[in-house]
Amino acid sequence: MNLDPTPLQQELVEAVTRLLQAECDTARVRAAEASGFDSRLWQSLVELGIPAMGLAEDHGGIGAGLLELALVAECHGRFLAPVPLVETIVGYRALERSDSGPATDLLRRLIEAAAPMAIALDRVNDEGERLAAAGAATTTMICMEEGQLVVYEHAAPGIKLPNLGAMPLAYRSPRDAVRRVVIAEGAEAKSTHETLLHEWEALTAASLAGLGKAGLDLGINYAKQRQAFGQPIGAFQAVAHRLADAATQIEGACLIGRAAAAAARDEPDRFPVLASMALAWCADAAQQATADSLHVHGGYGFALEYDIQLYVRRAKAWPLILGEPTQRYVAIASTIAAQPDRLQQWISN
Amino acid sequence: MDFQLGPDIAAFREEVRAFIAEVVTPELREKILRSGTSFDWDVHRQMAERGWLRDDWPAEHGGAGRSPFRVLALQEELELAGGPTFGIFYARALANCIRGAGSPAQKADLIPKLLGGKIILCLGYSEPSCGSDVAAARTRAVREGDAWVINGQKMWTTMAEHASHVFLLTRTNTEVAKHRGLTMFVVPIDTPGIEIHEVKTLGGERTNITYYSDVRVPDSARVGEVDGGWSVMINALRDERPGGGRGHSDRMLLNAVRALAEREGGRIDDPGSLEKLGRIAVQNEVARLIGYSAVARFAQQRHDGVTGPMFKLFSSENMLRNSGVLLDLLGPEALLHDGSEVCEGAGAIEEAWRHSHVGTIYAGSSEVQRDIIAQRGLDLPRSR
Repeated sequence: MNLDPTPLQQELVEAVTRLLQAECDTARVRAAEASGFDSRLWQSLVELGIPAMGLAEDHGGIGAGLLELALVAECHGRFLAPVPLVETIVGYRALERSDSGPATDLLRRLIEAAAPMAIALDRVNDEGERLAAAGAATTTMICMEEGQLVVYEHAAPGIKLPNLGAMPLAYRSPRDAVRRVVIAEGAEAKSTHETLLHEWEALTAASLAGLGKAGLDLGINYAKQRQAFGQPIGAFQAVAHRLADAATQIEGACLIGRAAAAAARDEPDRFPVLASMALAWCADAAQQATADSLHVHGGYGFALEYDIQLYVRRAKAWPLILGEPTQRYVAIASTIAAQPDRLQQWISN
Repeated sequence: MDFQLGPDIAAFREEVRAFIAEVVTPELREKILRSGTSFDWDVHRQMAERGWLRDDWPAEHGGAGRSPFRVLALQEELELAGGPTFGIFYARALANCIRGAGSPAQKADLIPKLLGGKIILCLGYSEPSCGSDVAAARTRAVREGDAWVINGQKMWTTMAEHASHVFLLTRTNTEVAKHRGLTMFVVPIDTPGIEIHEVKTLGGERTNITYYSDVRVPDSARVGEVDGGWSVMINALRDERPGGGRGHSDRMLLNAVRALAEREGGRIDDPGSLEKLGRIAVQNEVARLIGYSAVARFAQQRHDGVTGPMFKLFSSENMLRNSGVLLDLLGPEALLHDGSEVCEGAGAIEEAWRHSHVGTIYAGSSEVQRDIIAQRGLDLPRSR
């Protein structure tokens, strides 16, 4: 067990951090709230090779594993980057994994156009439209449909629906798509889609760990400066202990986010459950830590002018895209804790 | 970066499991529950003879400089099986204290015996009037010629009934700040003037109060400098392996799942129950990762002094909360316990729930851990 990033991992994190420091301060985050998508930032990330880095070299990537991608996702969360990086990374990888002719052609076109990818959720409205994560940032959407894994291409990005997390959420109708590409069918479609969802969980978890840490740091720094009753408020145990609990939960979030991503390579059997566990924990921890951080800010934390509200809203919103937390916990337990022998096996590994 | 413990630890785990299957019998479980002390001389000696108590120690102390994850795996497997776990901690922690501050004679005498499973020591830190504020100790040691005379009381001297010596924190100077007037001794427990009285606990464990009346020891029993006891204690705590594993929390979850599944025909299907079990499984996994990361940092000699307290805080608070959640899930049958029977299934949850109330108190209460995390980890101002 070695928790240190390799020199290459360290370089990657530093490069992405430098880019985001330069191009994603909270003024930029606020400016992108209306559209949910900062296309200039996206272009910069594309120039650095980030969205495609999880692909093989043949497809314009560097063959980065999920762990490296998780480290990048932590940076994404830390800076609240208004780009659908996680959706695109896992969408590209699903196309690459299916390896069919149409999927490979499509992937080439998307990489050439530096196009983000949207992921359609199960939610369908009365018009038969599907809610799509990142649907307002791109013309391309991947989804499962009657046993097939398909990609719909539209003439233009969808229209952003105002939402808690200022995400580029949009309803997209299969009917007005200009093209429908079947990526995979049958068992292959199912397994490719499941992997896509678990990679999405793992990377969103890492992103939330980064978000939670950054949001908590705002509160810790504030507690060192703000005075009340003649001393910094961080010198009150009632404040310090709340922050210590949150820091502990965030430490756990960083660890389980990375552990889940590492499992994709090292423990493929455990990866799906660990990915769900990581998202479940990172969502809870990021929500608690950012809410605690807001609380420590006192009334100012409630003012839109202060940045903590940006973190609080996203900590709640980002994970909800991937489904209801209660059902996630039920699914985790159904897999490993509904029967003693399954749990015994989980523990023994 | 990787999260694997590797094939060596996996192979060692198999060896430990085979050992446990042989020695942790229902009779031993019953003995542990009846005596209230998770210790057995026979098992302890066998583990020591296999080198398991010291194989991460350097060669000069008979160790093999191996991974500290070995002893963590040993501890986890014993916890999972409900086997005797106290001996490993007391032997290693006290050997570490002696290694840090003992005289050459103390090191040569006590360390091989401790790590070789020949003797065990107990800790005399807390007193009736001080626990977390351990520097407030009042037990007096007064110099008389070449000897010291000790008078006072110590609380929570767990294992005193098995110990050859007590590692005793005493007050030798009342004229200076409280933590500057302390001196440590290693005192043979059969020295005249020492009395051991049993204290029974909610968790069923036996601990002790020990009384010291005109206990006379030679100066050679002193560990470290006169009035230097605080640094002896702090250094020993700092150098002790931090963190921990998944044993107790997973044993509890597994026992609950066994009892629930049996009641529901082999498989739990109720979504309300599954949600709670899922939450606990996730929390156990997070606790394990924090504990392992503390040990990994320790192994790389990058002990930050924060991750260990995070594990202590997180895992003990989880046990307290989750044992209650599991009791609620199990319902009225979970109330039953039978002192003469091995507690498996539901009975083990009731046992864990009673025991978990002390987890957030001993070895530094949750409040002390939060202070450490806030000040050392988050660089917040000192708070009281």
